[in-house]
Amino acid sequence: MPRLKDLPTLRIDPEAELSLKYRGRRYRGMAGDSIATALYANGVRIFSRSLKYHRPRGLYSLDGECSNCLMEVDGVPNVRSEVIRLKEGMTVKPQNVAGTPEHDFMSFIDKLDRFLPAGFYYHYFHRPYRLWPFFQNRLRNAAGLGRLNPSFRIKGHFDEIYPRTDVCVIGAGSAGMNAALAAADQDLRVILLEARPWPGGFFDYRFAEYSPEVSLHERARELTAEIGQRDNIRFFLNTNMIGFYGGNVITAFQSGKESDSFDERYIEIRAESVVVATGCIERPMIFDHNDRPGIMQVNCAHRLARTYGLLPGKNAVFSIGDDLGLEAAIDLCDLGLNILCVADARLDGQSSSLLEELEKRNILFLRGWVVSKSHGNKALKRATLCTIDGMMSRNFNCDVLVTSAGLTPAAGPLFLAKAKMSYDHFTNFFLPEELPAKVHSAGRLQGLTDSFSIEASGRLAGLLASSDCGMPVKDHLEDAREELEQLPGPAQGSKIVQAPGTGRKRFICFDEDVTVKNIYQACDMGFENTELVKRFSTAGLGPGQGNITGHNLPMVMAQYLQQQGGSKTVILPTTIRPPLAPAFLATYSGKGCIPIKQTPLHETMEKTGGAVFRKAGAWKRVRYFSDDFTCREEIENVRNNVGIIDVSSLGKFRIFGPEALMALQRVYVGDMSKISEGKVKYSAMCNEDGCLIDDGVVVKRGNNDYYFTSSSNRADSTVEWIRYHTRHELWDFSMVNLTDAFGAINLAGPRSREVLRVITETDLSDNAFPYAGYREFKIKGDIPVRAMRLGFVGELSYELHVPASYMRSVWDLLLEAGQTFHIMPFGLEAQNVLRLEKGHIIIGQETEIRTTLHDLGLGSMWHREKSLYKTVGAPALRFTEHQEGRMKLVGFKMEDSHRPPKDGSIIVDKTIRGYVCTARYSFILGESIGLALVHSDLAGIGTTLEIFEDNMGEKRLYGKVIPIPFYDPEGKRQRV
Amino acid sequence: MEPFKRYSPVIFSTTPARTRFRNGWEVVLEYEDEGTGPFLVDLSHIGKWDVQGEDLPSLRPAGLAIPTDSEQCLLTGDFLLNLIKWNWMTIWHFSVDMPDFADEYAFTNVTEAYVLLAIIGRDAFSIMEKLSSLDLHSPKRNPPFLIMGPVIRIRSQVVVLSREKDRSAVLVACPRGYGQSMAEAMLDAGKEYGLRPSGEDLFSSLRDRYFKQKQKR
Repeated sequence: MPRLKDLPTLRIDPEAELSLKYRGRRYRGMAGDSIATALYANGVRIFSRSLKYHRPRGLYSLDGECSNCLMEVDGVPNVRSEVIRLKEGMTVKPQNVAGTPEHDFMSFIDKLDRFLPAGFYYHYFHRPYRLWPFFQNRLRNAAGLGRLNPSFRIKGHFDEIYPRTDVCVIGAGSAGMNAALAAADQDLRVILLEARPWPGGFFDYRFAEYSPEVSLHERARELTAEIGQRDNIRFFLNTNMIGFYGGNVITAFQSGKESDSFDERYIEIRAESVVVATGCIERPMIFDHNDRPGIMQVNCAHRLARTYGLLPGKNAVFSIGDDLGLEAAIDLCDLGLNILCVADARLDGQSSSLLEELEKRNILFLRGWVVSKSHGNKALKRATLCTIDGMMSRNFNCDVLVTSAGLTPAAGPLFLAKAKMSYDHFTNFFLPEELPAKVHSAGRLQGLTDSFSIEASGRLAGLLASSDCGMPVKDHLEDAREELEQLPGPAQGSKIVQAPGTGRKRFICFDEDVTVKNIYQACDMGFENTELVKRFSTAGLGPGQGNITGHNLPMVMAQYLQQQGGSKTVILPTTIRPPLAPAFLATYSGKGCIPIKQTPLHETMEKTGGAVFRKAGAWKRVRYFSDDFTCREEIENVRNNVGIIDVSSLGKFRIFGPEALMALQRVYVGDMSKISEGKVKYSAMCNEDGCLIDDGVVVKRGNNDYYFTSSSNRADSTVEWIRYHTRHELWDFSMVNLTDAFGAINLAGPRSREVLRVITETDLSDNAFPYAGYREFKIKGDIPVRAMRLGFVGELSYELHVPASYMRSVWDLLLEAGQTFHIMPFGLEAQNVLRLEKGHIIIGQETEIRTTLHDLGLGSMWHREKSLYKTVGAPALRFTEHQEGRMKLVGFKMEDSHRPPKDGSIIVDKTIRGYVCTARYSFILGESIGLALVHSDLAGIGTTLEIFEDNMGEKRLYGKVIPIPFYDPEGKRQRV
Repeated sequence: MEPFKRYSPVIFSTTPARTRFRNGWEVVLEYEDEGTGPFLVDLSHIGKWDVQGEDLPSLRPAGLAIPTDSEQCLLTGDFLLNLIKWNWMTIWHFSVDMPDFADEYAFTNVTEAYVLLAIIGRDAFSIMEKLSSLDLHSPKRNPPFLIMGPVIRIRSQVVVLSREKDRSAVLVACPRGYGQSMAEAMLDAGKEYGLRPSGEDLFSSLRDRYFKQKQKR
């Protein structure tokens, strides 16, 4: 179809042709086209079939306000073809089509609407209830738009930015641009967001007069040029605002142009003050068959012509509710569209000059008339108009029906900002009663229609935002207020809710195929609350995010309930939630950067043969050193020779100061005043409930100077934990997190002393460096280490804390020194089995949120006589110490010695009695052993445990409670 | 005996052109094909101390007066003092001869605890904006200044050294374990601007310039 040429408002470039593929055929579009306008130019009128009834649907808003034009583009479903720019080579498919868009073999459902009332799936298919799963599957398959292959991976580059600004203006119409300029004049940093690819809002495409010499679209370009000259305004076009959160955090996403480095970019803005100038959208006119292809909103028809050079059809009928409709009819008539009639639902209030212009063009004008029905099958053929009381009617043959019931503010951002919105009977808008602090509104969403008023309101909002940022603008503010007061205020809004008629196909929600009748059905069933009707009928729950439905639903409900005798019907808006515009999850994910902690030995481990890494909390650590996941060789080597493991992820801290000991006493259950010089003290931290949250060792390195460790997972929260639990004290102490400053190596096994002797001259004999001892010495006379003799794996072992940068050198030295002693690295799984054999717990593995020290058999660690320090968890420990019915940690061995149960298997009799925390086959013991948390009456030695694994059916595994430790119960091996 | 080698937590894939051993660290002075900027410099080897205590305001580390306001920094020829709050600061020392604060009770040597990366050159702030929501461009603050907060969700100390157009400089210190992740995220974010690894020489020359300019002011 030929395009209109040489219009100054055009946003397409006729010189830059682009191609797209649609249903196997190649079509041409132009740079600047949206996918939908390119298809429209090529004669495509049916873009999709509707969700429930498979009715044909076409171009409606040009702003992606409903699902009519959701299409599959390059394999991505639900792309808003009305707003997504055409790119060379796109492959486009219609959605929800069974057959072709013109011939859909599911369209017979349209005839069955009588059997599909509101909430039909709550009524039907439930009796007998056993049939429901069958129908549920069928309904779920039928529901939803678009199909996505589970293995589909979206292509493209997704980026993210987190800008800060003083003022963020949402909407670059004339009000928004004026607000941005006013704030920028105060030398503030301004961010301006615009969803369309160009600024100007409803000025952009209008030829009407702004001032005697300047038209509206020229004014929009003037403002745009002015914005472009300001270095302190960052302008984001193609950017949809999607969220508004506390502290003025605005989220948005920007679609990239071909010259951009990204396809979509997530933007998270933190602003001191926000101006919402998002203007209005059109309120759909409700009448019989108001969804046919060929029926479109006023600004859709107007922009098709003015922005994209496309006349929407040949013969058009207008049914409108405001002056913008009259203006569009005149302009489109001048551009060549045959206007058969303009029906205005208003009885008065029209601009006299616009009426004169209509008359000049011999366009039939019907005051107080409205469209009541459209006729046709797959396309519009005829429209029936009637008076608003329904007494008279006339028919017009037409291929385009341009309709609008009036305007409704695009107040989504204000809803998200938690502004209290209420219905205003003059403007017929939902307007804010009160705005949150540092949030302002401007322009058409306040009900303003006069161009100068809109701009003045923008300037005022920009100054108010500047004031929020501490700028001295008092005088400017007074002037701006005065200016606005002298200009025309909000205009009276159109009162029409719906055209006369009682047809079954008057759609209030295009996305979900919800009709006015469905809303009445919901009301008749007793639903009187808009939110409940919305959920029950699904009106507004579709991908259009309630844009088409949001205003009409409460109005229709209020009207109907009043007719039914409700005397106190209040018109309440439905809640709007983010995202305001549909966004890809990939966009939210941005670059998808997930930072991972690496130990200082990471590169060494990567080069070590067989190393298999696993994520362990924030860290990436080696779980296995071979593909034998039983780790038999690693385990046996620790028991018989010597093994070496990287334990750098342990939390490590310095705490010092005159009252450091008080802080330690507060958080540790043990008595920390009894730490001997050169010794480590093993202790634990509990939470307020007496439940174990951390364990580690503490060393006294000097006067009021301690070094302590925490479990890996608690490393990031230990400092905060201690600060939190001493927050009401004025204790003088300081803490430094040294977790990353020191790496740690555990050298374990009967020959570990011999290995260590090779690289240090320190006396390592049992007398000089006994079990639970602490020493500081140098390796090879150069590298300082902090060494502890500990026994987590139940053998003679040394935990060496080494400055992180030296870790690779020390690891290499130990491996070299240990060669003659058959040293081998071992991973987390081997360590897990070794400590299990010894009966040592891992927090989070053998504990849960309700496991106290006593439940674990570690009650002796609690020092009762230090009430002075108000130890965290002590009152709860006192209370739970002898409490009956608690879960207890027990050791068990399996009846079938070669069959350990899976971790997490449940322990049962007639009910669930506990669960297996860890269980493995022990090569050293020749038994399958485990630790389990069970009800206390199953904790007695010799009790048989009945274990159920997933998918086991009637079978069971059996184990018997035995004492722990399983291995070396006297602890002789670690004390040699 | 040669000192044992110390390793930075950051490994760049580009080839060093010139290196120097310093206190066991193999410091890269210059990389091959550093480009024209912006630049990413690994400064993990420089000395860092955490200083805490109620008597902090009265301390004079290396004879220097401590900044008086929180998140204020003091840049001297060799030192950068970053006051976090009245009783807590960090000291970074850039030149070869490391001062010895070992006997100072309030001082903890955290050289090994943090990776320190510098983004230098035009677009430094555009790159940082992709990694962090911290307000590094606030007109209310004059460089050098410190901001504590998340960079790619990692708790970090960020120092804005300069906002000079082509010589903008931002220093980011975060736990050493995250060093490689941080460096890779920076390089990825800076790809569109041509961010490339650079040696210490570039930073050293600019540091002198920043200090001299600060003195002039």
